[in-house]
Amino acid sequence: MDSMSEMDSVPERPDSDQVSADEQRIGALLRAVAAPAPAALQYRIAALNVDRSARRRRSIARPRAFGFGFAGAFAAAVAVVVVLLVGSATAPPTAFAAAQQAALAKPTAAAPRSLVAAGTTIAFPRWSARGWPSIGTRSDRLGGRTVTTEFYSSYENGSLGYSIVSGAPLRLGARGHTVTHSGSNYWVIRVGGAQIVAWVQAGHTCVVASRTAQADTLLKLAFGQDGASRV
Amino acid sequence: MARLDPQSLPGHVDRLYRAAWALCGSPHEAEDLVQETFVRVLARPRLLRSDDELAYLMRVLRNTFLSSRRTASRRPQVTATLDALELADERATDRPEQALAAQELYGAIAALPEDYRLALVAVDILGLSYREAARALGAREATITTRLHRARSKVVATVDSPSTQAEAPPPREGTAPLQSPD
Repeated sequence: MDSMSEMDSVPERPDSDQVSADEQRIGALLRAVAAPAPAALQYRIAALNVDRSARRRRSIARPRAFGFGFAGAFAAAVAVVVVLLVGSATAPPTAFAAAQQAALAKPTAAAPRSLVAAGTTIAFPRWSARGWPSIGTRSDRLGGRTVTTEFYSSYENGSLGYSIVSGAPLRLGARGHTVTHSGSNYWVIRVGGAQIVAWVQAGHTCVVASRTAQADTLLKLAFGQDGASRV
Repeated sequence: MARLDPQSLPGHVDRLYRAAWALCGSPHEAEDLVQETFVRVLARPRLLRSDDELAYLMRVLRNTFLSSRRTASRRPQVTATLDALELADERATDRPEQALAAQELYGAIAALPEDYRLALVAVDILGLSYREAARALGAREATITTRLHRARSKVVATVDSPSTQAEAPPPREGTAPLQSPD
């Protein structure tokens, strides 16, 4: 069927009955298989729109002023603030900055059915039933640690990244505030336009970050993770 | 000139997904194609010459499809690894017969020569008028009409051919095979 000559064998002006019959048959075939786009695709498109709206809001609120892009300025701000926050930590301070930035970055791979963070025994949760289907993953290396991130998207709350850092727990900063739930501590801080919640699970640092969701939404998701999904 | 409203775009995802599937013949590639199309459209504010968003999206979809094909043809071919296969989307469907019929139909459309495929996708799947399709595809209306007749004829012949019917699974109890309306 892929040759043009085969197409040319079809009369250019077939009789009108045949034209009508083919048109109706095609219509019937297409209607019979008409299915909506997969939910994951619809969420990804919705997330693109949310991301675009958030970028637009930020650019309106704070126009470019220093000769480099706002995204770059934001990333630099996060790095600087976090380095200041954890400057006296025993662990390399840039590792925590990397975890936050990874959680706020973009996915580089499709989301698998299940994913265990590299260098840990922690499996990323399935949050579809809570309105946060997975939309992708990424992996970053920094200072001998691996930061594995899974991204989730919600119609109501935009998108978030959940990063798990391999190796010993990072020391969290003194700023922000701590919320205790079921004996575990959750560190909550707002950096630039991003809301960040971090905690230690199974001996590793976990970070949930979002530019669109509120802290209480992130905390509710994080609370369910303590002691869950280990392999 | 009207400005394209990004908030209205999610309403076109279903039709665009089916159009993309018919263009590339694979539901997985179709997802990537639709996502890439929306990434391009949302990259900056867009002005429409006419008010028809769908015709504009068709143009972007076609351009994205063609450029992705060109890029893919330049890329070295690699064999899929087991890891890649495990990561593949294993969506389950509760209507396997419909999924098979869709794969067969969209596969037949995807096997058409490009110009014919685009004409059928624009008119029969996206629902553009002949004039809109001609404008979106940069062809004369009469050309679109001819391509459409031939494309429909070929697809119907492929889907209804005895060999295709023999490969199709038997209809489930209580369901009827597709029939011509006439």
